[in-house]
Amino acid sequence: MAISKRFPARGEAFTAFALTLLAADLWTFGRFIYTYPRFTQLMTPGDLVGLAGYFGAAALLDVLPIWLALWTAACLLPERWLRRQFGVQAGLTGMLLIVWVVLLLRRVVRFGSPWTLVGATAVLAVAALALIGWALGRFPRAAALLRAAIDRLLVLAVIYLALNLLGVAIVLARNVF
Amino acid sequence: MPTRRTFLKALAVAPLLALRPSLTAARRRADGPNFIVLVFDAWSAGHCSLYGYPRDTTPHLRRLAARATVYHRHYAGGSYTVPGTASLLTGLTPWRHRAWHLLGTTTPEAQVFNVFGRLRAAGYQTLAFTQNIFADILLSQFGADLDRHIPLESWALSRNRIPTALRRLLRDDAQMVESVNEALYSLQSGATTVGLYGRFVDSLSLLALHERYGETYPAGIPFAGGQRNYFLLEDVLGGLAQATAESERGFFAYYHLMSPHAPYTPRADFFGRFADDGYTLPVKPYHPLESDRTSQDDLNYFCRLYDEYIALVDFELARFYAALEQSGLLDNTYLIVTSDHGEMFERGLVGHMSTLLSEPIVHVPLVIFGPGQTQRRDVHDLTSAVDLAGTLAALAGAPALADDGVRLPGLGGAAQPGRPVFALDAKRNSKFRPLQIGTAAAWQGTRKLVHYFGYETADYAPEELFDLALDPLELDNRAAADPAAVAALRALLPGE
Repeated sequence: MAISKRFPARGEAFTAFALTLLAADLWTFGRFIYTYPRFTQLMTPGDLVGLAGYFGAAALLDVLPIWLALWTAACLLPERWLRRQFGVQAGLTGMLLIVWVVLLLRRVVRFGSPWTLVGATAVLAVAALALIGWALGRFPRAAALLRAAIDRLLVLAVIYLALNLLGVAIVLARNVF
Repeated sequence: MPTRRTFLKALAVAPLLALRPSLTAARRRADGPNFIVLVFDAWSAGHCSLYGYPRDTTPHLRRLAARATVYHRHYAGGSYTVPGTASLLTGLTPWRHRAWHLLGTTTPEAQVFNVFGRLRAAGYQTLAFTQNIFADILLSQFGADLDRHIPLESWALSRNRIPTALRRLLRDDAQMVESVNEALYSLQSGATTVGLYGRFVDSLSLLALHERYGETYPAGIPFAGGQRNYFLLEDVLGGLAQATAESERGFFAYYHLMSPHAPYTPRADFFGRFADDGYTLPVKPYHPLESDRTSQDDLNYFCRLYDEYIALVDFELARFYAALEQSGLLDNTYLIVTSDHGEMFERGLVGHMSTLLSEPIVHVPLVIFGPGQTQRRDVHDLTSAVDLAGTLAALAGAPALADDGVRLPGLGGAAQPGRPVFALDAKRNSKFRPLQIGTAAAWQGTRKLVHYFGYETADYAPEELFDLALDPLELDNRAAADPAAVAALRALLPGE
């Protein structure tokens, strides 16, 4: 079988990416709004635009490792486990992982050993994927409703994605010119 | 006809062409002396035996000072890294440079005063290194005037690889990168998942480091602030000595090290050195503008660790000096040893992030080793961090700028007995608005005025006046008894 046959469908991959990004953006832009007044004390309007760009680019950067890990898992696992409903399964898991990572970095959740942290993250991701996969198969009506809700969320996610890309453009512009 | 390929080639070469003038333009080589400014972060003059501290924290500096000019009443421009370093590097008081926030930079008008630009214009090769991210943001701001900006994680034992790579890639935007880090992750490192990866690798490295250095550093391995770049002072100073020796002659080097900044991590051969010496800190009342209430026992404990850390700094400084001397560099080099601000263990407060401008956090060491100097010289006049940039520029033959400093006595300047010096803490005031909240201090002769303004707390005295000759511990506020002196000193404070 050609390797590309193992890739999740483009639309599904985008859904997963956009959902994960939405979670990262909610955190990132929330923090931006929270800290914005402080930064107005020490940055010019031009700097503040640059800073907003950095926030947008940071969220995009955040999502890539999670999305890539889930995408790789989908390529490796049997189709019915993850690839078939990659958008919903990986998207929701990605959102959960963003929340988890924020809790870890804010030290709300703590681990003594770094390997315990990796283990806990892996267990959480696998459990989320399995549970969501099982629920989607077990409750088809709920799955359809969920899919419809996600389709609506995607519109919001695309708007955020545009802001993220604008952020990347600002960062590049600041560092090139 | 230009093809797509030739267009892309041209596009790739374009940035290099833009850089060409700076790469190829022949600069006049400076033939004057070299300069090394060595800043040890949060080093209080009051904790140095060189200046009479009862604990012998700086025996090596006392010995080496036999060939140096020692400034006894030298003051930082502010109480923490950003204003202190900005004053030192620009020769301007915080009233003019307005770099007084964490992550802050100077105004564009102040930027042109930076010492790197001044010495570079005189033909000097300029290089700079700091382990302190807040100082690194200032160095990034002055990056156009730096021939070599050594990355802050250099010679570190461990570092977060991805955030480090990001910082290197976006070095000119250090303020942005660190602002995002602080806002999103409380200065943890990098972006969220990237930061998590960084912390994971960091944790593994740290376990290995503790395994290896745990016994050598019983109070913890030194690390630099939010970046958690673990380091050994001897490695960093050794690396800097080598980088200096390899530099083209006619250089100006600014090295800003983290030690003895908290966490206080003396090496095993210094740890416990002052444990049973019977010294205790003078007891001072709490200040109404400070909420910290560290117990006197804890103040004594942290002070002891700090003093032991200074003893380590002193030891390694002497080794650095010996390495420079051995290389012959000191024959034609000024070595300037100083600090950006001090540290305090009094009134319930440990550290320096305070609204107070007490002596321990603004009175800093300044020792200058001149080329071929064989006699010690002691300067008891008031001097300020703002004096350094202009003095070095004058020694380098650079044109004078209208900064706030005067030429240092002993380095071409004359004593000016009535000259006031100033410090300011305004971290709660916008950089762009008139000063409405903060603490200003003015020294003239033996008198010191501290002026608090704009704080919400109702029960603080807006002015404190001390005669430091009679009351060096600042226990007797004479403001009510001598309003004329208060008015005279207040009139000296710089305006907007």
